[in-house]
Amino acid sequence: MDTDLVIRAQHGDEEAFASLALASGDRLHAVAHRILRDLHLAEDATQQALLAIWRDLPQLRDPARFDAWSYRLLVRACYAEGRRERSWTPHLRLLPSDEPMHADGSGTVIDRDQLERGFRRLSIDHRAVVVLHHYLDLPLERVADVLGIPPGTARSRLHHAMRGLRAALDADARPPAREVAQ
Amino acid sequence: MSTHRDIDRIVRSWLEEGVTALPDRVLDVVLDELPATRQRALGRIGRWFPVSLRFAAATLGAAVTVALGVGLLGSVSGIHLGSAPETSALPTSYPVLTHESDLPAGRYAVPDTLGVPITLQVPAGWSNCSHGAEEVGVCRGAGTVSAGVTFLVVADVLEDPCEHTARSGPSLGPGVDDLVQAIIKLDGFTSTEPEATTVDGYPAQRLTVKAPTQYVCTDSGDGLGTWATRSRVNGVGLGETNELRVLEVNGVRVLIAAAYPSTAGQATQDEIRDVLDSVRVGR
Repeated sequence: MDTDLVIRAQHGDEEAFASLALASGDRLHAVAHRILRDLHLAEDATQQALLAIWRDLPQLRDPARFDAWSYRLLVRACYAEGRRERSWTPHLRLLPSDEPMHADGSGTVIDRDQLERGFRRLSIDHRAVVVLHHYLDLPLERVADVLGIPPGTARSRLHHAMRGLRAALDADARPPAREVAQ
Repeated sequence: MSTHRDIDRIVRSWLEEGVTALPDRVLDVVLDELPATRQRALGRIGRWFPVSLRFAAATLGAAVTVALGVGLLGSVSGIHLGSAPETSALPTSYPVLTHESDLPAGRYAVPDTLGVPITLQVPAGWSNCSHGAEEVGVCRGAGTVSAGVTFLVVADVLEDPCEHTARSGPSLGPGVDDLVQAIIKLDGFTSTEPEATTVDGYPAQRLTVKAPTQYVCTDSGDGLGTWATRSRVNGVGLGETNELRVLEVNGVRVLIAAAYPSTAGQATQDEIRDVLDSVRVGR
C-alpha cells in the first residue's frame, strides 16, 4: 500500500482516501464475504470498515501497517454484521439429495455444501482466523497481530475451526442432504 | 476420514470461490459519507460501535414514515381522528417484502410476522433492508444506503445511546405514549413536541428526532443507539433525522421511521415522504 496515500488520508485528504478505498475495497470485501457468507452483509461490513478506516486513520501510528490495521477494522465490522445475521436467517429445511458422493473428497458439490454448513456453525472469531490464514495466506503470528489476540489463541481457534470443518466433511457417512428454502 | 492435508487443501480451494469485487455503489456511498464523517484526532481512544449503516439508515427512514403518511391520508380521506377503523385483510395480490435486495417498483405488503397488515408503494431503485420479523424496511438505493422507511415493533429504548447493549427493559411501558416519551428522552437528541395525527385513519403520534452532529460518547463509533426490537438494537448516524410515527393496530404498537442523513437533498426527502404517504393499513 502506498504509504504516502495513507499519510495524506490521515490528514483529511479525501482524494487520497478514495484511492486507498479503491485499492483495498475489493480485498476487504472478499474477506468479509468469506467470513460472513452473505453478500449483503459483506457489503455492509465493508462499507462500515471503510468509514471506520477513514474516521480512525489519524490514530494509525505506522502507515506501513495500513493493510493489517484495515483487516482488524474489517473483522470488527464482520462481528457486528454477524450479530445481525442471526435475526434474519431464512428458514431452511433439509431434503434428500440426488447428488452423488465423491470418494476423492475435493471440489464436489457435496464438499461445498458440507463445508458451507460447517463453516456457518463456527463463530465469527473462528471464521476470521480460517479466512485470514487460509484465504489471505497470513502466518498465524500475523493473524494474531491483526486480530489483537495472542498467537496461542489464534492457533487454538484455527485448530478448533478446522476440526469442525473436518467433522462436517466426515459426516458424509449419513445420507447426503441439501438445503432448500421453504 | 479426511486428513489434515486434505482439509487444508479443500478449505483453501473452497475459499477461493466467491466474489472478490466490491460493487461501485458501495464505494460511492462511502465516498459520499466522507464529508459528514469527522476523523478522530490522534490520541483519542476508539472503540467499535456495532451499529451498521444500513441499520441506521433503515431506522432513520422508518421513523419518518408513519406520521407523515397518516396526516396526509387522513386529510385526504376525511377519516376522523381518534377513531381507529376496522382492519381488514390485505389484498393478497401484493408481493410480500422478503429478503431480496433490489425491489422492482410497486406496492408491497410487509410480512405477516410484523403483526400488522401494512402495504406501501416502493419507488424504482429502492431495496429491501429488513432485519428480522419485527423490523421491516425499504431503503433508497440498494444494499447499503442512508435513507429509508422502516416499520418496527419496538421492545425497548436505550437509556444511554452510547451503550448499545444496555436497554431500558421493563421500564418501557406498552402504550404509544410510553414509546414516544422514551424516545424524547434519548440523551443528546433533539426532538419536536409529539403531535396527534393519523396513519391511514389510525390515531398516531408524530414527532421528529434528530441525532447530534458531534460525538457525544467518549468512545463512540459509527452512530448512536436508539431503540430495539426483541432481536436487535437500532442505531442512527450522526446528524441524521428520523421522522417518526407511533400507532397501535390490533394491539400491536408500531413505530414507523423515515430516516435520512444530514446530507440528504430535497429530492431524497421528497421520495421518502412519497413512500410514507403511500402507507396503507389493513386495506
